[in-house]
Amino acid sequence: MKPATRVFRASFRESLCSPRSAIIALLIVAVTIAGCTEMLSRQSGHMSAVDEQTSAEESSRASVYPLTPGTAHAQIWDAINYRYFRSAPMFGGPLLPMRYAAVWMGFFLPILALLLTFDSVSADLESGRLKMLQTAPAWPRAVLLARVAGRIGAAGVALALGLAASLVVVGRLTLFAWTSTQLLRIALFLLFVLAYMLVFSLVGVLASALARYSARALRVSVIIVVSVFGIHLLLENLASLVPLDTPQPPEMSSHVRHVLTSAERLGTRGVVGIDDEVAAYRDSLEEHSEIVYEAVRRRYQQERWLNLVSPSHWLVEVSSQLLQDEYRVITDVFRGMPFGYHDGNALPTLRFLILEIAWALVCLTGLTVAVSRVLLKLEV
Amino acid sequence: MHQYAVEATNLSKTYNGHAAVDNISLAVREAEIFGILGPNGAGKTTLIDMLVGLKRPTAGEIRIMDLTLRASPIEIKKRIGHVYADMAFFPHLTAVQNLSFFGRFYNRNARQLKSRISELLEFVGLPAEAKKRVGVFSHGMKQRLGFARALINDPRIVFLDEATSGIDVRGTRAIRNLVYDLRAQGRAIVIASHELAEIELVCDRIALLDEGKLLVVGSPDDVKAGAGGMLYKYRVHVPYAISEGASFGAEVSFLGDSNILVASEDLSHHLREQFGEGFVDTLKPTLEDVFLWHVGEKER
Repeated sequence: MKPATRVFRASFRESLCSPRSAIIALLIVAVTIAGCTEMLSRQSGHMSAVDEQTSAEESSRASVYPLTPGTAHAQIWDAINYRYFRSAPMFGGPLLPMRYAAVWMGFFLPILALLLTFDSVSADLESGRLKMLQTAPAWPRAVLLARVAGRIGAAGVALALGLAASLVVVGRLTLFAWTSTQLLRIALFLLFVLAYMLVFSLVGVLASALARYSARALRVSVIIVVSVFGIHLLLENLASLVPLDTPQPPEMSSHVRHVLTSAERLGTRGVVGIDDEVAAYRDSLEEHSEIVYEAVRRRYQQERWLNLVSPSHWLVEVSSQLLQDEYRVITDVFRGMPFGYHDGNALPTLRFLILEIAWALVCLTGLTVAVSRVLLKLEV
Repeated sequence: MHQYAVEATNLSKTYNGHAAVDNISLAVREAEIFGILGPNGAGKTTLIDMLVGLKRPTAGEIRIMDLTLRASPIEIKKRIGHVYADMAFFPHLTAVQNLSFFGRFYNRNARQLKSRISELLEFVGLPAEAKKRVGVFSHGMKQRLGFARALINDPRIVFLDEATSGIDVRGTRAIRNLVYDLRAQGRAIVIASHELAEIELVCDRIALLDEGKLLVVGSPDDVKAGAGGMLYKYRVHVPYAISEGASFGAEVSFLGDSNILVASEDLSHHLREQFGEGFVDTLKPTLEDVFLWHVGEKER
């Protein structure tokens, strides 16, 4: 066996058996379960809302039209919810909760990856271990690359083990039995999570090799994490910071208000015949909600484009596509607000997916080249 | 038999325009203990790291047992051993596991390796610690284990870079004896250190380095003899009779108190004339005198 391979194996084993790997695996389990729990509670919330809406509609007392002249936003959301409850599926597949875990991972994995790798080169330089390893009859660069690869590989295995353990727990929680297609989707998802972690691991190695001292590398890593989160949050919220370009909802005349209020009181709304003025108001409100819907959808698409450059969004995007399962995914438009699936959203999905994967590959390739160049020039 | 075990020609290493090693040429014979002396930052470690293939020279050539380092670095690594100041083993592995980890790099089979490891642990005086984790070893024990690691491939040349730094007297003596044993086995040993007494005691020849430059090479006696008759040392028995401001017509340096001085020219006649025959002693310069004369007394 070649010395570099031996160094890789030794480094891999050493890193895998370290407490850090155990902590990573446990954190991944915690993050995945937290994400899944969040999604399950959301699903349960949606189900209650649907039940409520359905029973209200059945008794013809649904508050479909805004009776009180509130803000434009309140009316917009009423309109959206109305559409949402009618068009959006309420249940995701068994994989859907994992999508929320992916959102959490988008934040946690960079921290974990950088925590694992910030001293991957500097600690060995400081302790003299690298010097010791490089006395082996092999190319010093090969030894160094093998050492770093061993540590990153161990982190990847710790992550995969953590994910596998959490899938078992999620399976127990949701009482789902995985099918082979779902397992394939999970495997692909895992691959993307590993790629995502690899990106930040390479950033950590780069920081470690350039800083040469662990304390300095840690400071650099903290700055990187804060910057990544800053960019991520900024981009995610940038679209919703721009005012929605929608007209005010139509004014409600006193006659319409009187008719609708009476109908509401009598519980006959939707059943009793309405005059032309009320019917016209209802039509104009429908039209308005259509405009609002289009505006929201447009903003949603803009947000997706913006998020393309976010360093952590592609994990969420790709995971969403992979974990849709046989059901349709419920997508957030604004933070915390549910938005119904619409065929219009599905059209650019493949294009987005390709772009996200391409972006990830560019990041990975660029970082791999940068890390290799720095490591090849590094001397003990 | 090779002409030289180690041969460096016009070796230089530059960092950002600063020469850590500046055009050094030296040769080490087989079965010779060769010392590289110098103050902190003189370039000793950089020189050793280049000789063992850990750093690439900016210029110059290195030949180890007639092989050039540039052409055959891996073959050369199989023939050399390297011990440095802080040997960093895997702390969670035992002494035997650490040695067998490195031993496997040299294509030895399990039986050969096992026997070599127990032989080496005996040689470095650590047979009782064979199955202890290296994490609990003292610095001296780690250094001795470092010797065992350096010898695992039965090298013809062993490089020691500050190998005894931070080790107590007993440990230093044990390592010194190991070095003698290695020479007796016909191996060449290159020692880089700033411990003058140790180098003077152990080495057959020494090279004095300062600011990356080679100042003098020779046996300790040759070097002490004033680097070829260039250094003279006197004690004047007249308290405070001479001062640093005094003029002697030669370059003079005061050692310790102002009555002991070294000079670049023979001042015996001049001093005896000034202070009287019985008040001036001619002393033999020590290696420390020579060292300080060359590198100055300024702290680095």
